[in-house]
Amino acid sequence: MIEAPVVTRALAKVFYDEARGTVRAVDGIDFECRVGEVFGLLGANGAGKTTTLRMLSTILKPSAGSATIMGHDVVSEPERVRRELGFYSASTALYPRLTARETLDFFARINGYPTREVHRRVEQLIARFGIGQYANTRVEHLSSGMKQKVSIARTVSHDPPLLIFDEPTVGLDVLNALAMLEVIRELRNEGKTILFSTHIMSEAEKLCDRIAVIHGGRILAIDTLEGHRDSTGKHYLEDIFVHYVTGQDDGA
Amino acid sequence: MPRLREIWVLYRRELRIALREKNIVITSILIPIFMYPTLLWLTFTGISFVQGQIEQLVPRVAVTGDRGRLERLEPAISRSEDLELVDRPLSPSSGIDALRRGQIDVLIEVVSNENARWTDAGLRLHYDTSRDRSASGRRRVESLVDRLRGERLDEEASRLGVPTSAWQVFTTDECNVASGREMGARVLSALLPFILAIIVALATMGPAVDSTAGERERSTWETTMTLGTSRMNIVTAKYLYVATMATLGGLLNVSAMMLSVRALLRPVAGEELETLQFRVAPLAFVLLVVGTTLLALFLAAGMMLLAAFARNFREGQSMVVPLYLLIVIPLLAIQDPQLMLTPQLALVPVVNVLLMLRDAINGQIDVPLIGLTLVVQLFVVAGCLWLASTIVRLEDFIVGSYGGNLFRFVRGRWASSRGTHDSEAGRD
Repeated sequence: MIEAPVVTRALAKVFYDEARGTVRAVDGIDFECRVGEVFGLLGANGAGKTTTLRMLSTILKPSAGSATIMGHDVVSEPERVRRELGFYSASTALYPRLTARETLDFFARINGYPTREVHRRVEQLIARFGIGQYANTRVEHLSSGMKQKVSIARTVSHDPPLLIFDEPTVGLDVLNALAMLEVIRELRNEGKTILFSTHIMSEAEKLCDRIAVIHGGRILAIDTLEGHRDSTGKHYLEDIFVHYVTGQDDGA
Repeated sequence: MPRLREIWVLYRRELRIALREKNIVITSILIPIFMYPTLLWLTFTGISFVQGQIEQLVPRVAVTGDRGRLERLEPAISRSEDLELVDRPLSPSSGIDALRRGQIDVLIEVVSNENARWTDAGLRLHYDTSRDRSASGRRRVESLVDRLRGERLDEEASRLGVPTSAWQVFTTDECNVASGREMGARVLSALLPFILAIIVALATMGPAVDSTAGERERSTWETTMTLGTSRMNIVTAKYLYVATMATLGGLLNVSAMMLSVRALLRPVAGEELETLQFRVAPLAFVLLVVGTTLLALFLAAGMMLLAAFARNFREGQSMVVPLYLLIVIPLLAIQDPQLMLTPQLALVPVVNVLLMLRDAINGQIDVPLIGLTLVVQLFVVAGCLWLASTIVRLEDFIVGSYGGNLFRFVRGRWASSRGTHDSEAGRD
């Protein structure tokens, strides 16, 4: 039994940009996610959240350090890693010309769900996420709320133990954003480990079991909300976040 | 290691997506079936119509100079239904002016001739090749003069008691040893490889761009890159899908052309058409399928490589157009009947396949050269695939951080290869 589905050690990512020169987007971060928790990466735009999650989902290769997903190294075993996780982000859209049902079928099969069980799994997901009415409609004809449900369903289609949500509520209206948070909570209750990135304090406050504050490519603190309150003497997460970030700036 | 089951799942998705895209269905299926047969039919019918119209025009012919010496020609022109004699006196210069103004079509000038002792007259024909009616008039006048000359020689020979065969020196009779099938093959070999290459390139373009640049435009590229399979499997499936569509387009085109070629040629070929047989020998047919597949494999690899750097469909189309135009060069080359498939030419991709097809349709099967062609083409395809699988593993390619600029991509790779850092791949 793996105790920490996600482990990073001195994980770093350095880019070269013609205008800015060398950019250290992620600067040696260490953290572990525990089984069945929602682990939040809280940071402003440009803090390094997406780069971190892209390294964990094997889209990017780390420049230094290491990371494992369910015990598999992201560099040496990228396919195993991708099968162990469901990755949801605004940049991973659905295939518009597939129907909702075909989408779920495809993701389940390609991510290694047992072939004989795929049909049953697809029907189960359709029922669970209330997709039945438009299961045979092409994704390009669905509303954004419907697409969101199909996107979540395809993320969990192969029943992975780890789910990564990269700013999942960006671009959603209030009701759909609340529905998204509710689904994440349900998935946590089913025993999934969830890595969740956001820049919205209230989301992290409501949802996360532990929160890592990330700024300038570094993790400044990791703790439960109560732990952060005790450490900083601040009650609201917004104040806690500002405390860490300005403290970092002061110390720099 | 490639996993066939995963490649099959990916390949099936690509095909399903493609067959639901109107543009791909049009360019890869409908155009190969209908476009070239229709275009050729329209062209041939148009040519035939224009020729018919020209034939119906009666050129106006005027005569100048010492008309008294034309005791036979002027009456013959007057009698001719194909020519109209303009019976008004013209000086050579005013006649040429009238020709330039389009008032007449041919001016026959009777000129002094140093051999006048032996001839009725020396003739100089003035005409204007920029006008069809004048060009046609020239041909008809020359034909009329030839006929009169023959009649005159016959008369003189008869008067002198010389048999016709004696003054003709030799007579000719024609006997074509080519069978209808061979003549049909000759027509097909000139037509099929040319159109096939264009159609295969056209059928490749849509799927190649859609499966690469199209995915970026639809924001599904990263979705695909996070699937639980290897990047090599993804590239292989995409490649097989593009090659399938290209091969399908090519074979549909060949079938459509074979079925319609007789009807297409009817307007221009006339009675000769009935003697032609448009059939391809079984071995040539096999080579046609193999050649189409090889062309498709090569073009699919090349176009995917180029289009994969684009950010959207339109940009992708712009990137593959140079390769499309490059195909035209070998097409022009194979029109030269002197150009044969040699060991040297068998090393040149595309040219080798097109020459192999041309020769095979003509019934010329050179096994060693065909073998060399297949090896070379497969080697080139393997090279393209290796390059594609190498590029697709580069993260700046995956995230498209070079902004669709190929030069910036190469420069970024150059910079990163010299330093320890990676190219910019974006961050939140």
